[in-house]
Amino acid sequence: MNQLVGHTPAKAVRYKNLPTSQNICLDTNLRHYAVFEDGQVEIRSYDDLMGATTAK
Amino acid sequence: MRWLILPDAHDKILRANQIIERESHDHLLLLGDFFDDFRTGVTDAADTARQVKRWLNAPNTTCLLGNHDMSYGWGRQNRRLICPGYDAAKWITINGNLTNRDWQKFKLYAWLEGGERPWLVTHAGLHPCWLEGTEPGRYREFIDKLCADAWDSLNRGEHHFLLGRASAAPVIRRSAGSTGLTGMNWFPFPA
Repeated sequence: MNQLVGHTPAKAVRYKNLPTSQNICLDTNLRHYAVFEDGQVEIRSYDDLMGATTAK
Repeated sequence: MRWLILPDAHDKILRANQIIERESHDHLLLLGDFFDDFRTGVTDAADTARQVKRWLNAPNTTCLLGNHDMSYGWGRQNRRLICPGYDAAKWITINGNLTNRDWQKFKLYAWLEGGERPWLVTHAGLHPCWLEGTEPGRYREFIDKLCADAWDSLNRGEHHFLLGRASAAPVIRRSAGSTGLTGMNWFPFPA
């Protein structure tokens, strides 16, 4: 079983990979968020999103 | 199914909505702690409460319960749930917007399926010690039952170790030790 959580803020997303689980803490004061699709978690950046949409 | 997952907003509703509007998704999953940015006040809490109410009642949207949300929803029934940042004036405005029916729409966890292993999504995480003695194949059944019990306790105004801070959590597993063990709305991510 893997776990995805918030709660503990830091500047970067944190990963703790163990033999039987992946664990991700996503809380960076909303500088990052995640997309889950087809069984895969992808971490994305607010700054990248806003830069991409502003540039369009 | 494409899930968009946003962590703790803490009154940053504009930023949250910028992400939601720009990132395509089928289901929105919010990890809780909507309230209590320490630099914001009652007006921000009111704005946040109105948005949270919309999310709680929106289709394809799941709001997980964070410790700072629990503080305003259940803190008056159980003072041990009150968080730093709690403010009585905010309580009034938040609960002027969110009814008991709204609070009951929060969830303690969500499962994401489709990969090699399922993902348990909670506000702060479930310490592995709580799973000791449970076969990995029965984790889901065990966690579903544990969270249902915790939710019932919360609504009765009773303490439940799964929603408690370290000092309040009983040692039910030998390896857990007597300190540093918190419930899944408080558990600090290990450094």
